Amino acid sequence: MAILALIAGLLVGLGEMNNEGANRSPNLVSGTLLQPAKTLTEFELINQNGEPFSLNNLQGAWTLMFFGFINCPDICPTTLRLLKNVKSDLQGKGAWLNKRVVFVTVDPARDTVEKIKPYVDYFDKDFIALTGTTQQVQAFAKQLSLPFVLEPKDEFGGYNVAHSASILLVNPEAKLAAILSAPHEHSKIVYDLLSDYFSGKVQKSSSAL
Amino acid sequence: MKKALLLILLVLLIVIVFWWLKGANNRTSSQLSSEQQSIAKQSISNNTTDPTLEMIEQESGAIDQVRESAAVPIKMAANAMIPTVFTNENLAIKSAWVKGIIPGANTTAAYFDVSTKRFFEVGGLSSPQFERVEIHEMSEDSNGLMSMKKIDWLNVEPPGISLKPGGKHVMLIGSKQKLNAGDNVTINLEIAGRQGGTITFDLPVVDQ
Repeated sequence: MAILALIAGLLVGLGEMNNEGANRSPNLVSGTLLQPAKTLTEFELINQNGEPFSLNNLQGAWTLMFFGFINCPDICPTTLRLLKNVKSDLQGKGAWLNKRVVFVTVDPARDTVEKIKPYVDYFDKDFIALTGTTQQVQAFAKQLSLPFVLEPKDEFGGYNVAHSASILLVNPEAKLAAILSAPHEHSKIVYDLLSDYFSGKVQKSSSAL
Repeated sequence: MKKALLLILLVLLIVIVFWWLKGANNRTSSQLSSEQQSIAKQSISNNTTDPTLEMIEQESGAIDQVRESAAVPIKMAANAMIPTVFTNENLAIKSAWVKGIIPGANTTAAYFDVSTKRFFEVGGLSSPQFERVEIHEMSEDSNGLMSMKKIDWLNVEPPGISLKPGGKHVMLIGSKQKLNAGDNVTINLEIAGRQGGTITFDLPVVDQ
């Protein structure tokens, strides 16, 4: 009898764990879900309009965030173009309302407010670009565990920045929820973002986030 | 007992379908004359574009046999429609394009495919429209950091090399003028070795 009770208890317990919240955590095909989502701390950056951007600006919607720099000729434009296509695709399916794209520069010395605005507007006028002082950008990248390294200047004074190609997903509570690692595939990202978990429907249990 | 019977029936069904499909392929291949078949086989082994290949596809409609052997020949037949920007007896440069410069940036990338029958080294790139032109390779370290590594001399071996987004690319640094979609960028490059020299070709600027 005691053994039966134990088994029953275990089953119920497992059932509880599986059914946490209205939206079960999906298995992402385009990256890794962080469980639990990582709480972020206050930060200060500036957006492409010169306005302050901080933690509360990340609330209210899912943010697809990518770190790059303007003079990166390959990975950065390719990824921003991919994000633009993902947005168009999800818009067509009515699944973009609670989502946004944020581009953060890893080269704030060169990528000033004046430069990041036309750069990000080129891809989509709704995309947000962030810059700031070197310390501000480094602090923000650090709490997202995204390293970047300014490489040595060449004889012409030019330099590149080594950075991660990952796309981060920050949830509407401004917590880091998932990391999508390169190489990025449009169809996989769209597939994941179409799941109920990202739909913005009301959660029954807040512990799901 | 019932389950076992069902299983055997399922296996038999799969085997029958398999044989039927194989039979269909055999029927298709017999439609090609022996001459066409040998040309198809030759094209596949040489990995070159062959107009006869397109003819085979159109006339007999026997795409399946070629597709079965290798997908590459069909892709290369399609690429034959993209203009070749440069060709000499040793090499051909195709599918060449420059990414449009995004407002705010003064650097962009160029991509192209080189096909060659010989091994050679390529370097010393320049362009009248840019301050510097370099060949770069993307690499990722153990921390997930992507960085670009400059390649001074790029080895090109037969059948060739493909510069494309995410991989090796030509970096055009410091644009001297505004470039719009449809404009052309001129690139000069040096080929090292006995049959070396400088070659020059134009690439169209394409909006991203």
